[in-house]
Amino acid sequence: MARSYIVHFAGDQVGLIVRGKTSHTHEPGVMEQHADVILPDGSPMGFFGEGNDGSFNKSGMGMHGMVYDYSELLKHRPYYIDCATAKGYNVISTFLIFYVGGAEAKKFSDYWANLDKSPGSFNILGGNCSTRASGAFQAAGILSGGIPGLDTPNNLYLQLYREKGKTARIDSGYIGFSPRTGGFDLLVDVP
Amino acid sequence: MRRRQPGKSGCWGKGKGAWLRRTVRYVIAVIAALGFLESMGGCVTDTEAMKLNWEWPAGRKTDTRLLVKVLKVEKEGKGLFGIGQSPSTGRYLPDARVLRGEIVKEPAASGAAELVLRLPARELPEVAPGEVLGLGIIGGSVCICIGKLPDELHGESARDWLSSMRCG
Repeated sequence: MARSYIVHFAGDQVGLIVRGKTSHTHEPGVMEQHADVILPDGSPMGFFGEGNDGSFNKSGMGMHGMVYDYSELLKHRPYYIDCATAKGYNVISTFLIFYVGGAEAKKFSDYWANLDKSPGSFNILGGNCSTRASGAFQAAGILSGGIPGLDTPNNLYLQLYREKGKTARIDSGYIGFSPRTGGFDLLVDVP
Repeated sequence: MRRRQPGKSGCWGKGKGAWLRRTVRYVIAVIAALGFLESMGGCVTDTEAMKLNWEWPAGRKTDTRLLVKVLKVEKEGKGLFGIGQSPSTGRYLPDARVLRGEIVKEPAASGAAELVLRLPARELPEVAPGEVLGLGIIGGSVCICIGKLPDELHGESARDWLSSMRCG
């Protein structure tokens, strides 16, 4: 049954969103998934590769890394931050949100602030969206190690589920973010 | 003759983790080599055409508007190993189409007669070759809105429509 709800972020939760993962058990293809995170204030953040100019980086290696925040996602991936657009493009995401301590929350946010300043390179193998998302969870002390197996959003999701799944909020649907004073609320529309 | 044994150090590594690392290194090397080779011979088209990529308006205003007669629309290929289809690359567009068109109203800053625009299929109005589209452009290389010129409009009325075309 279809339902909609809002998750309010008050500084004590973080999350992982796997785009293209239609349910907890769905295993999307390697080229059908992308990972974004939700900061403690509810901001969506993601790591992307840019600079495919038809040269070496056409292989997905040695691209420029870029952090997309809400305003960049609005330009490049509106179907990741707006429920109606997500419905139009039929982009279903699965998320995993859990509570963290104050120190963990700060380290998680700091990681993304630093990555935004100095994003480095993007490599489709071993330096992609899930690698950086994993880096944030490790830097915050939420995860103790890297992604088991290949760095894919779904492998990171499964790792987080094993370690945090018991207390996490997990759901799948069309996802949007609503700006509010001091952050964002997460809007979920479950088809 | 000495033979390396599974489970020992060296080329055999240590179990599944080492096998995975070796496989990843091998795949990276192959992809890099193929990407380089493709780049040597794969970028020789469209040197004369204005190239535009699609972004959503996000509250921005266009700085150039063009009327473009459609020459052809094609579904974009997946590229090397489908890497161009990874949603983690900035260039990715869902169900991308490549539109080639002839510029009807030439912009002051460009002498290009044709343009090539990549955009999501969902953003492309239903058009056939010979029909005219209006494009809203920002920064010379990014298209942020598109609309189909009503058939009955020509000349000055077409330009009026273009300047009032809804964008965003």
